[in-house]
Amino acid sequence: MKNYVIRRLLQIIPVFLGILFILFFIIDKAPGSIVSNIMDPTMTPELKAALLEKLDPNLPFYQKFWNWLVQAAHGNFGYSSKHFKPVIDVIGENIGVTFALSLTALIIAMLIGIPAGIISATKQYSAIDNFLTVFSLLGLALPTFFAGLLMLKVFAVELKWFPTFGFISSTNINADFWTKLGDHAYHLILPACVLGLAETASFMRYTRSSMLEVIRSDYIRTARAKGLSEKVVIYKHAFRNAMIPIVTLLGFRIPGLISGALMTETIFSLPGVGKLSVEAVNNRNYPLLIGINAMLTLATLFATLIADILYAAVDPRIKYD
Amino acid sequence: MTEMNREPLLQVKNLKTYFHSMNGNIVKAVDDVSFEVYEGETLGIVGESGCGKSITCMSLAQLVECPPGRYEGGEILLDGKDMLKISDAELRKMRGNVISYIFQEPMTSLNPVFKIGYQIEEVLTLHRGLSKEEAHKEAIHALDLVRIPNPERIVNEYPFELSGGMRQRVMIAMALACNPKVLVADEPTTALDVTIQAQVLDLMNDLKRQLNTSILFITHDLSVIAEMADRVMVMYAGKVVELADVMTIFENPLHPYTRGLIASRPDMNTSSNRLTVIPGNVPDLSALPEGCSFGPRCGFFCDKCGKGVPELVEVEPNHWVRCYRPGGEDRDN
Repeated sequence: MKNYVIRRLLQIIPVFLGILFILFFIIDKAPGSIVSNIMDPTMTPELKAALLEKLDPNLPFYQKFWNWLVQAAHGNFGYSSKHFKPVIDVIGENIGVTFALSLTALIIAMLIGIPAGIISATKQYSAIDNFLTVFSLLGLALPTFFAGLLMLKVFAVELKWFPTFGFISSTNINADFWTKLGDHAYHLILPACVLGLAETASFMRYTRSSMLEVIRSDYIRTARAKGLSEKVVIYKHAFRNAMIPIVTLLGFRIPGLISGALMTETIFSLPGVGKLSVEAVNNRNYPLLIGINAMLTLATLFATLIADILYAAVDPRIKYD
Repeated sequence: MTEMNREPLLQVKNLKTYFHSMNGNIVKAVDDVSFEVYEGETLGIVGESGCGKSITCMSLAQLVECPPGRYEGGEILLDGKDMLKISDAELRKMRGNVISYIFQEPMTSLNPVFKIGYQIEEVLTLHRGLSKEEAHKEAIHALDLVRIPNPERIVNEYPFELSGGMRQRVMIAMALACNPKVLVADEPTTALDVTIQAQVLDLMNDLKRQLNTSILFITHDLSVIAEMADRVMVMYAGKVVELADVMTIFENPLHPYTRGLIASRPDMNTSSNRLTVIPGNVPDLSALPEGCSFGPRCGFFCDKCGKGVPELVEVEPNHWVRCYRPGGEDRDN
């Protein structure tokens, strides 16, 4: 197990460098530059060119790649000229919101999706199964920008139950820690539900199909023949097996915890990583874009490793050595 | 071998298990089946695939998936209780405790994510109320009883670490852990190769003598029946067609289907290169032929057979046959 983890960690290095290389190549070929969004009419082309030369000197992309690597090795991940701050600080300011939002959504999705999937599978083709199926198809089919706007309109604008935007109310900016925390949570409910809706649906479908497969198997018949109660048969014998594919799904969701929900964050004006990366693309803020993507790449690589380790934990047939 | 004046341990009366398919067809998988099992005896059930032998045995502890299955009628009296009428809680107390099962597929019948020991302990803590430590000791003892080498090590292994024969022994250990009165063995050796098959059958016969358990042994292999059973029940298309003790079945079979089955066995004392077969196929249970279900495949078919379904009649003492012309001769009734 230990050797396996070390081997996998070493494998992360070339993959990470390869992805970064592709990233630098794509950004180099993308049209526009950091000054293309400066709309100041008084700015002459010469001034623009001079500014560009200062902010983003015209070097071949592999040269930029190498420079970035050398700097990153020294702990410098670039400077966001838009924010007048190092990239790492900008990301650091935004990642908390994203993490809180995505984690809440993931917990909602698991807490609702997995039990609903189990019920749906054990009562296949019943009224409740049909209802849950329709609900999950709705959740999967409704695009977030539509569902988000709809919920914003109904619950925030019409019913006024929740705030319409942001992560904190203007009146609470200087409040004490606990008031702020409560206010953050209050601001997160609606976006987390919107984000959780689609994920709940996919967890439910995954759990349902996984359970259906397991419930029909011979060892479930054995468990019943032993005289175990239906609860033990379903939630212990069947679910322990059905969990294995769900762990894969969970592994895919871990990078999402920090990558941010682009749509949801934009709709609810939450200062998260998703919104930040949209802005970085729009402003051609390449250092920030590379910083965010480098972080996401690493997170994804580590998440797949964690998923593989979790696999061995839930399935005794999988052993690493 | 069997004293018929004794009270039967398990009594099945007119059991009917039907399947209702989506398109409204009714499949009578078990159609009016009655039989008895006495203490310490082995009743063999034979028949081709799809004749209802497995569903009959699954019905005994209500293990048939419902829906699509449905128990349409009959009584199953075991240990003074009607298995079809008792509450779910009582039923669970019977399963694994009074009546237990060994299934055909040892490769898939054990839960892959739990240790062997745990799977046996589960029955012991549930039915015998043992503590975890006691159950663990008892599980090792149970594995030892089915002659598994190194039981102390095997309890901590997972099913995928064992061979098919070993897994079937684990199944037997699990089934016998609570000293059940009836053990239902649904083709327990079909998935095993011949040498392992012989070992498992020997083991079952030994344990039966030691524990005085009654066995319901399902198989389509007549040589296995000859080795295991005291009495034999032959099933065809959801019905019992012949019931007699094992010697009678082999030496004086009266139903044309039983005769066909026995004639189909490979025989070393014949010069023919071809095996004898029963012509035709098992009928579709949702579209049974008029009259006797075996009629279209029968060599003694007459007008009467096409019109009515014959009753199961005791033609000789303890020899029951469902045929108008048992042994090819016209019957009076």
